Amino acid sequence: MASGFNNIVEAADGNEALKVFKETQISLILTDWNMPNKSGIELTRDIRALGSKVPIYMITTESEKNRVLEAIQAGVNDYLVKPFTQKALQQKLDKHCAAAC
Amino acid sequence: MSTSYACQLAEIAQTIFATMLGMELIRCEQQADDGSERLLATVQITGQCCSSIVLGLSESAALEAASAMLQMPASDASAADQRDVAAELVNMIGGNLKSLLPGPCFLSLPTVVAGREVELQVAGGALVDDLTFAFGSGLYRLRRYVQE
Repeated sequence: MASGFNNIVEAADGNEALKVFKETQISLILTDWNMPNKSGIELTRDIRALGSKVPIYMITTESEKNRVLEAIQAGVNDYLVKPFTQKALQQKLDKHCAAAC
Repeated sequence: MSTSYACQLAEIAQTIFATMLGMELIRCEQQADDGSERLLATVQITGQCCSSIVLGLSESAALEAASAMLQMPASDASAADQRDVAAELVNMIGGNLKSLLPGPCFLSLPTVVAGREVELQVAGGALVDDLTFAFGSGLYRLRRYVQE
């Protein structure tokens, strides 16, 4: 994995992601919107409710303006609409790293 | 009479496969209803415009797609990998189509059925769009059913 990320943790759904987040030091979250049990939006709200400012990137097919707005209001930092190229994702990660370093 | 979104669906599918999998799908006339489908992935669009999107993949198509998306040899792509990739593909197709439909609409989670000679019936749904694509030795059939 490029962009300085050397430890990737996966979660099958939003509930598992929240559990992993609470147990692990996470520096960046990539989440889908449409997930079983807990959506990406609900996950984002839960993480923000914990007081965390961890960067959250939403990767989703939800491209309508009101949906993007909903995600940003929930606390998402950036947004990537599927389908996307590997280069587009890389640019997002590079941008995060540039800001964090 | 429901509006056809065949052209939009074709463009969406070809863009997704090209962008995410590096695969140039070729649209063909052949209908893949010859029992070759091994995976059926479906997603529901509800709201103002109710549709069911069904992506059928032949055995080689499921392997090719999983191999391409997960960047692994086809021989290493497990049945679970193939189901995950089929689900993600139909999710992307449905999500992209949803943004073109008169809203508001909502997208369900995808469902995948695997097996031989599997038939899928969409209750109350009329088949409006039916497209077949080929890549390599694989066939991909994309259908849209509309519930009036």
